[in-house]
Amino acid sequence: MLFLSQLLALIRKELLAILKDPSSRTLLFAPALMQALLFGYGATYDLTHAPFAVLDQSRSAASTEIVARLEGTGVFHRIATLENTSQIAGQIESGDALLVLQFQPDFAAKLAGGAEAPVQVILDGRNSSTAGLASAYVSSIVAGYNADQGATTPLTIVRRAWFNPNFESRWNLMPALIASLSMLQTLMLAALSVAREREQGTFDQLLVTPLTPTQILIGKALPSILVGLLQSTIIFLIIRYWFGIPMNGQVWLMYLGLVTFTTAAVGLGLSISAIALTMQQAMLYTFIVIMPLMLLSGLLTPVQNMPEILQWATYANPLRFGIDLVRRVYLEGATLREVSFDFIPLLAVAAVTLPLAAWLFRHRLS
Amino acid sequence: MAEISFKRVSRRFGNTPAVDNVSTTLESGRFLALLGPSGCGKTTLLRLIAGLERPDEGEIALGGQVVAAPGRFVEPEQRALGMVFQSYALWPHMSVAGNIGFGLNRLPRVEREARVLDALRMVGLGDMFDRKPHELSGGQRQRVALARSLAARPRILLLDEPLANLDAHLRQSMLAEFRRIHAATGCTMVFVTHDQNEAMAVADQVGVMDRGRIEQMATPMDLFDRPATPMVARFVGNGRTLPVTVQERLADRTCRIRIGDRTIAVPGQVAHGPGWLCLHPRDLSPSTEGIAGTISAVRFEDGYYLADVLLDALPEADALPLRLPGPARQGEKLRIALRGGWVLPRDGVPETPIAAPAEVRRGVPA
Ligand SMILES: Nc1ncnc2c1ncn2[C@@H]1O[C@H](COP(=O)(O)OP(=O)(O)OP(=O)(O)O)[C@@H](O)[C@H]1O
Ligand SMILES: [Mg+2]
Repeated sequence: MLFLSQLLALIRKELLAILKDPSSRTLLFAPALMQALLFGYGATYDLTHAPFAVLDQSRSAASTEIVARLEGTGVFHRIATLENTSQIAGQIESGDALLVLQFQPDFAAKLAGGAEAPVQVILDGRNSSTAGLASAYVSSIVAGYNADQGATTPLTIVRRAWFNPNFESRWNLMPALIASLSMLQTLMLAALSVAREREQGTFDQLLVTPLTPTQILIGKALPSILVGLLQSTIIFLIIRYWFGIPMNGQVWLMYLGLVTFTTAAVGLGLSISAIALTMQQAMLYTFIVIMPLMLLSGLLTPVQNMPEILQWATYANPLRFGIDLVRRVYLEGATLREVSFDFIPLLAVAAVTLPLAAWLFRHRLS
Repeated sequence: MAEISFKRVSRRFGNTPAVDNVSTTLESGRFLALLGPSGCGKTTLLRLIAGLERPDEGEIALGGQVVAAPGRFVEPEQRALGMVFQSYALWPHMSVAGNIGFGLNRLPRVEREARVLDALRMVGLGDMFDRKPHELSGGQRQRVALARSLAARPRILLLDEPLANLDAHLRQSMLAEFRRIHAATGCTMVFVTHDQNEAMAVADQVGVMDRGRIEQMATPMDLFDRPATPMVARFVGNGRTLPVTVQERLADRTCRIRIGDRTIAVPGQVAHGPGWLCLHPRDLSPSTEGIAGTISAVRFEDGYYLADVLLDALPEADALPLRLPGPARQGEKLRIALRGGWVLPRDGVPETPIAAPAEVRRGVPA
């Protein structure tokens, strides 16, 4: 009870420090908003006209229905109806079609027999973010079809990306922004929180009040986590409703991932903050840290393409797993079991950095 | 109940001994002023008491409880002490009341508010509780910082140059405030200052530090009358030390010394040998009978002409500060009469303990 009321007073103080400052207030939400819009328009420019081709070898009611639904979106325009698999390459290579939808001859039979019936989606990997978006659309349409047919219909999607075998890790920037855009701000906010007090000269004052380091840690971490989640929510809402990118997974699962990810990021930020003597140092350290975090996140370069040593290093990078988790939940509708591995490095980073920060509050190496 | 005791405490930063083998005891309820040149370790000593620094060696006890010793350390939040930092250390986004009430969450709301108002009234800011720090003058901020440390009713109150940034008038009224608060609360107070007059005006004990050591801890009067070391003699009250020869220790606690061509009796208990004659301006007066000297400089100060006089017999020694009734020229010859003063042995350690009240020597490691 006492612990909580002391903690609340501290959290109140921290939120005041963040929100009362007009410059930090605009910094909180404007960049997230702007970046999300900028990236969004950059990445979704082509998606109003997604040309696709169909190779329907099953000629079934189900396949016709799915193609019809796809065309009904107004986004997908069928430019060709193919006769055999050898035609697929031409469509993709020429860039005429962004994707080819293939229903194999046994599709209808499998569907009727209750076996897994794969819809093959072949994507132009050169145009990964648009193709990724298009693929997300297809997923949601298939999911919608599944829902209409009752949950038992075992219709699945199999993706093949051409020209870019690692397409899976590169695909679609947008949902990755939910994690990565908020990270810079969260990290910075946490990094500044202790450094600001050191510069202000109030940190020692904080230490001689009856607050324990654990309380100080939670009191410093929670406001940053809240702000980070709020930013992620803004970006999420923009992506989902402004750009209309369909979400295939569970919102609660994505947020569970985001909370874990943001906590790890804040732990990192607070550790930086506990080392820094001034706000300037804290900012410098944050930029030094954020660069490798971004580069090793898989956001720009697939992790599988990195040298092995760097691949190992990515395990300490919360951003890699934050992005992976959000992407897969958002675009692929991954379940908790499917993304459970992503939680392990995130929790590990949080479990190391948070106690480290608390320890550093009192034992900063001088 | 809140005695402060140091046993052979050292704290080094790299090779700099900031606090060097300090052993001393400050009785509960005392008001100690710490004096010393810049960088002599005053702040470090306060931070050791507060628990913001850990001693490298030695033992610190507060109120009989060991708070720092090899293998034992009581964290600052558990030491129940208040600290006023030189920089005020107010949280800029919280009101005056918020700043003072912060850390009092263990109290019920009503009592908390009463405490805040009480403390504000004590420092004479009863009507300013909802101001923000930036709406206060420097002196008012200082008083808020003081009120904050008072509101917690600490058993020990540490003040690190709390008046450094105030004008002379405000300092005077704040000094009176400190004395009143000390009388009203009965807490043990340690007050760091650069200003000797401040220290002597406010404290019942004054500690003089030099290079990490406490040279002497005594009443203001004893510091003047019986400095324990040449450093104290020079540091306190614009003092000077002249190299003299002690001829004989006399029975009435004086010594016969030879200075130039004169032999005089001066208070002190030093055996035959080289000695220091410690003098303050109050010990000197112009006289036709005195020791011959030459004026090396004159300035007007505090309503007097203050001359620096070099004794003709000791041209290499310190110039003596002499108050003159009227203007004088550089190079003018005159004579100085000595009244009082204090003799110390030249090697710094008296052969036998000085027969003075016990507390004079307290704080000086044997
Ligand atoms: N964190 C630190 N790291 C390294 N050296 C330090 C540190 N803190 C103090 N020192 C050194 O220890 C010595 C004593 O410093 P301290 O701050 O205690 O002096 P002070 O008496 O308070 O001086 P001032 O009157 O100027 O405030 C100085 O030489 C200082 O340079
Ligand atoms: Mg200092």
